Amino acid sequence: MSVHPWPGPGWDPMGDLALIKQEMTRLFEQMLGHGARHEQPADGAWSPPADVSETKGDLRVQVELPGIQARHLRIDFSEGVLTIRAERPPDPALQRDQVLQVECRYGSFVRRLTLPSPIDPDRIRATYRDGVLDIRLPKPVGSQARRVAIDAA
Amino acid sequence: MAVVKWDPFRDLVSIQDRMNRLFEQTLSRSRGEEGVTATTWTPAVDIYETADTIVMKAELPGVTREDIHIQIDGSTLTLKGERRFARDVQEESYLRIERAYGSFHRSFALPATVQQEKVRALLKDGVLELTLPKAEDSKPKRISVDVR
Repeated sequence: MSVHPWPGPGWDPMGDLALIKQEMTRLFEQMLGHGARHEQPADGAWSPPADVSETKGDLRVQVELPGIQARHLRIDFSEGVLTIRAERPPDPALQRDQVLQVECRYGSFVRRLTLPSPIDPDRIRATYRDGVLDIRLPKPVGSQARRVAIDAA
Repeated sequence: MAVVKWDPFRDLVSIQDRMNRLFEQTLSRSRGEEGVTATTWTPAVDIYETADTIVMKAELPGVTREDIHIQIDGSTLTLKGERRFARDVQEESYLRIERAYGSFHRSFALPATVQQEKVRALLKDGVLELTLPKAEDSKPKRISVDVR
């Protein structure tokens, strides 16, 4: 155990706790896998970490999926839920050779994300580069929130 | 869908391993610039060996070649580097950040000394694969026993 210096005035222990909680929730959802909510992964599938960002024009989802061949990637969008599936076949060397350490994950990966705003499914674009799946989801043109006028009686 | 036998101990070991990595990451992080949280994270690594070589695979998705540093000193291999938080557009706002950004640093005790000049490194699809040929003097030797 190494001793870390006081991280300085910017240190936010509550933020750290929130991050731990979020990660633990993901971990337990993944391990226990009961499907009460639709963000739950399928049984036995890994849940890869994802970043979601937003600009005025589009949403962007970046998922870490190292070592996947493009033909083993699948993206579906239905009713506001984006589903990413990937398959990473086990490394044959792990059967053949003397294995000293295995930490990488092999098998099925599933991630479901409920998108925070409507998007145009026909214009979704995805690229896979350096082990990161980068999905851009443009918002529909003219979908800006409108204020609804209330008629006085 | 393949039928897989459920092994609760495998799950528990996996939980333990991930919890350890989670606490290491979270407790050693510090605030980066521009409000983006820079962490110290630990990449997953597989290591296996044959009679002649040691092969190491590290998951480094989103890390560029220039940001990976490998150092071998005898039978100690050190892997370090950084995953940069690349914000393309200025007005991009993040709703969810689960990926770890910042520096990583891991050292490994290799089971044999390696021929440093013959080490090969390949980075493909976010996986760094190191092929480390064993030094002649550390390959297993068969010693014949004379029977009288």
